[in-house]
Amino acid sequence: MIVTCENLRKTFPGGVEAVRGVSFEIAEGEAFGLLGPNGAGKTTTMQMLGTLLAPTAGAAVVAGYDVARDPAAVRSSIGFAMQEAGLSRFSSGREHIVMMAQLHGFSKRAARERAVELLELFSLHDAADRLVRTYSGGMKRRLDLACGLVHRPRILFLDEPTTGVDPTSRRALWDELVSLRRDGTSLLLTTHYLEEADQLCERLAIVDRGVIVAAGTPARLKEEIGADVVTIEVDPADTAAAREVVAAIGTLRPAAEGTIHLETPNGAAAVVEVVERLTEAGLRPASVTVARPTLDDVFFRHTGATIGGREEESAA
Amino acid sequence: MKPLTDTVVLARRALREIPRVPTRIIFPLMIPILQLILFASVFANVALIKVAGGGSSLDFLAAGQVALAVFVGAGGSGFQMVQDMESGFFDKLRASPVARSSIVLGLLLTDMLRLGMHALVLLLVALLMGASVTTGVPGAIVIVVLCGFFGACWAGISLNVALRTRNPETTAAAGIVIFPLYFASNAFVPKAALPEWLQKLNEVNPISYLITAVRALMLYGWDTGAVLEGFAAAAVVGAITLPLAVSAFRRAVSS
Repeated sequence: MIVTCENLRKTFPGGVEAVRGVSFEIAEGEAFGLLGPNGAGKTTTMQMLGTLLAPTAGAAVVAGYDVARDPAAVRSSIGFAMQEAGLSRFSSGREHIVMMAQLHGFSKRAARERAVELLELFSLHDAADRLVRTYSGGMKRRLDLACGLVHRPRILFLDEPTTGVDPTSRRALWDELVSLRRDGTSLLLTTHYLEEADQLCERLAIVDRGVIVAAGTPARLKEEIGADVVTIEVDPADTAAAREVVAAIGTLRPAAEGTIHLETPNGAAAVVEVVERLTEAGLRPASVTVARPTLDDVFFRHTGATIGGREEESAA
Repeated sequence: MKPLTDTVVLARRALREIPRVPTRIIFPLMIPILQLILFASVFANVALIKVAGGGSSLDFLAAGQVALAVFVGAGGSGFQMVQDMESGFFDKLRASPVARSSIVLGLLLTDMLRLGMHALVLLLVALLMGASVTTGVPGAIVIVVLCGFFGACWAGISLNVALRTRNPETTAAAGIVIFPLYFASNAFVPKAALPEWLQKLNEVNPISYLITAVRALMLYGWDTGAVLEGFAAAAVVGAITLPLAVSAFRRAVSS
């Protein structure tokens, strides 16, 4: 196991319980994701594992070192790309990598060579000597990632690696992470993007309000739901009436006006019934589609809320 | 030695960035340079200066402006720390195996060199305007070293504010506290000509000790006593500000 944590807790001064007992394990070479809305405690968990925050209770071992007893050894073994790319605006990309390499004990010459490699790997060689303040969001992320990989860590921590990154750069970053995985680097990442968790992680833990509510491979988690989701588009004015009509067919889930999400064991059969009943009631649907469960469905099943809904809640 | 090499690596980064943000050099130097030019003219015909035992009013005033360049520069020292905290760079360092002490030592080393340069620039401007340094190049070197050392100790004040508030505005505002102390010092008027209560005050005003030392080396020659008192005053300031800064820093890194 590259990461083992048991009953990790973090209570901040003031009494906010950000993490309320989290336990999981990550195998060597595995990609593990913490999926959940903002404020779920993902970042706090990662910061405890990365020695940036001291746990209030519980224990964790990362790369063979106890985070509380041997934080320096943990820091030497992990790469950490944080939510805020920790870059200095008035240094260049090359200077950043060389500096990080030197702090990891590389000689100046070895640090320079490593910088050339990493700049090449992350397609930053053209911008290598420009100041970071001229970089785009995607370039900053890539540089931050490069800095985190300087010492060829066995495990890379990625806190929301693609938040605020445009879709094209996100794809490129994903590709880079996938190729890292091929080299045997373990990953621990947090995300609130279901697609990202689905694409990158072999195993996931779904986190809500400081606890893990479900864990497993994305496929397993989706199978457990066992239900299809029927999505029905109706005239927004008829939404309430239409929901009442189809409520008996399955389980209704929250959705925007004009949309109805219905969870049901057999989606295909339900479609016929939905169309019949709605037509009988004079509420002809504009469209009816069936989808296999997604991670969003998994999240909903375990928390009773959608990720977006939870985030609005915590923003309010 | 890891702490030592890390300190140098971090100081090199900070020093490299200084010329890339010209405003950080221009503002702290502009005030003393302008004051030197203006006050040298204002006081050109004032007999007061003769109390100091000869020398031009320019020579006399230059010491105060050399010191001011150091103090204003030191007042901006915590700004870099706040910025690194805001950008996440500080956390990045915290997650790396950098020797913790090097983060503070790197900043202090940077300040020592940066503020020594401030003193040098002011000396050069004064020389260009026609001032002279009686003790010559060795004296100028002592001035630069003393100013760098004094500046790093004084920077401890700004570092404390930065680490305790993490607020760029407060940190910038805290740099202004030197002005009352500076105007009450012997920057413009020889100590003997000050009213008695100000003379008393200046016995505990660290700024006056730096000015006296610099002035001695520029005007009167090798006054070992004044120079040692300058270093001692800096050490006293440092003995108060730096341990406090280190404990504030410990709290900041462990949070």
